[in-house]
Amino acid sequence: MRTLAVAVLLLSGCVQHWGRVGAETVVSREAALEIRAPAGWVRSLVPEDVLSFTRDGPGIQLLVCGARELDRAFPALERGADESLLPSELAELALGELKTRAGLSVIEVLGSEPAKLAGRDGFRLYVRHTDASGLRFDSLLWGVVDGERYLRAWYRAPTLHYFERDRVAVERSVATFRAHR
Amino acid sequence: MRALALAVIAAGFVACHTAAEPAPFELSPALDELDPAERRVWSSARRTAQMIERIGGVLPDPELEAYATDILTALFPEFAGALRVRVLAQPVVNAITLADGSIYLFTGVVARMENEAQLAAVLAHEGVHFTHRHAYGDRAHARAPLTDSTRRRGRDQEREADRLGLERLVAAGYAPGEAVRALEHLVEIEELYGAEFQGSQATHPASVRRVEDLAALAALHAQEGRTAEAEYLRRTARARVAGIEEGLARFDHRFVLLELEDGVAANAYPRHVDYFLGEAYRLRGEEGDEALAEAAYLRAVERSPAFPRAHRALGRHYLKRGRPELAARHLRRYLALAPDALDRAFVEANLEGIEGGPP
Repeated sequence: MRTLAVAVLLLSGCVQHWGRVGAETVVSREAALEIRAPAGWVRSLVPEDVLSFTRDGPGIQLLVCGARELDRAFPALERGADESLLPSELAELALGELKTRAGLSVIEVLGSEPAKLAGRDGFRLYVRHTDASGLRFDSLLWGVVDGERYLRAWYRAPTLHYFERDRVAVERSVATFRAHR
Repeated sequence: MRALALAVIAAGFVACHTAAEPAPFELSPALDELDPAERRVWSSARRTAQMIERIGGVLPDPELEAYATDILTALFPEFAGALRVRVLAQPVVNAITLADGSIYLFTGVVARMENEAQLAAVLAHEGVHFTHRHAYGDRAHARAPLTDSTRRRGRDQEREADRLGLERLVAAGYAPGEAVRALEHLVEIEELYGAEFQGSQATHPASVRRVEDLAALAALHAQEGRTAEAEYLRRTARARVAGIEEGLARFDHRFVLLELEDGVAANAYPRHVDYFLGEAYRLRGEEGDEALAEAAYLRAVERSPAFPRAHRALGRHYLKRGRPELAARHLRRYLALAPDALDRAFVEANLEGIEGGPP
């Protein structure tokens, strides 16, 4: 009985963290960000300074949009960003951050190109890694310097079946990403 | 030093628990000769090894693996086949041994060692961790927080590995003083990374003290012996460059500068080595580093004109400093030398910005 109660608590705890998204634009008041989520996805309801969305569960695909103060733009590298950086240099910092967080996992770069985010010029990185269980994931990462903040969007899904299936919806959504500060 | 990589491996390095100190192996044990508890520790180590393979952490360098394994066989002939070496592409000056005899050498340690005898000293130390079943003996302390007792135990094991490793080194015909030099490289790293490094080495005795102890032991032996510097530099060339590249990719300019600012060490690298040095100055970003970086990039282009990334670096450097003609010249050269570069679109955008049209 006690085990059952714990299981119910855990289960309900998980369910409460995510909520259905309608057609409206989702806003983070803490971070002054907004985005129109991919249709039919759910969003994280945990109050935080990033907006997180998934369709089939965060262990499958995940779209995260957020902002960091410029001087703490790349915390794992202990480095900031500034307006003087070329978009390609910003992309290298983002890749370094990924590699540092990934430890021994190899991050394979499949593409790196100029891209806009929130109306600003930045980069779009396309990378692949294999997790400890042996599952391959593809990721897209966008980043720009916007005044005093580094804005980023990150989409990750298994290479098999999911990444390409949801990519177009994610890119459409990321194109609506806006910052208000 | 960023200790993230070490944490990943540590999960397999330390495992479960028993009380008595295990006796050293006399010969290579077969898995079915081990008691069930030790077999579980080995299985855990093998799962860790498989995980490292899956995530792509191992540098594909079979020649270096064979070279290091041959050195290990000379050091531990009775354990031939039981000890295996893999190389991890990380700018970490360290090596790790799993319970089953899998030894992982980080490219950082390969880069900092100056000759075969120094690498042999590292491998002899790591091999003793296996023959003396340190990982199995550690299982009592696996998931517990570090205490004085576990720290002491770890330090005792390190001293034992230093002492017995030195005996193996001498028996295999290497110069004993090189073991001391190898440990001195660790002191340099401690000084460079300070508290960051100390955190990852909490179970190790202070390296300065270890150097003193090892030097006293080494002095008891005849000092002559093999060093095999040229052979070492040739066989490790690829791994050393991989370590530098990973260091730069993770914005760790400290390791790269330590390795390359010494002109003697830099001579062991390819002709375009000054590109790496220039990148390290750029990443450090202190006063005067822009000029140091530019000079290093120029040297790289002089010495190795067909190395693409030195041209890209110069192109960016001039682009950001208002010298568009020079920037365009080097960026065009980069694209000509690396037509399939993954960042081609960035460079084309730079050229478009300079010249007002497609390159």
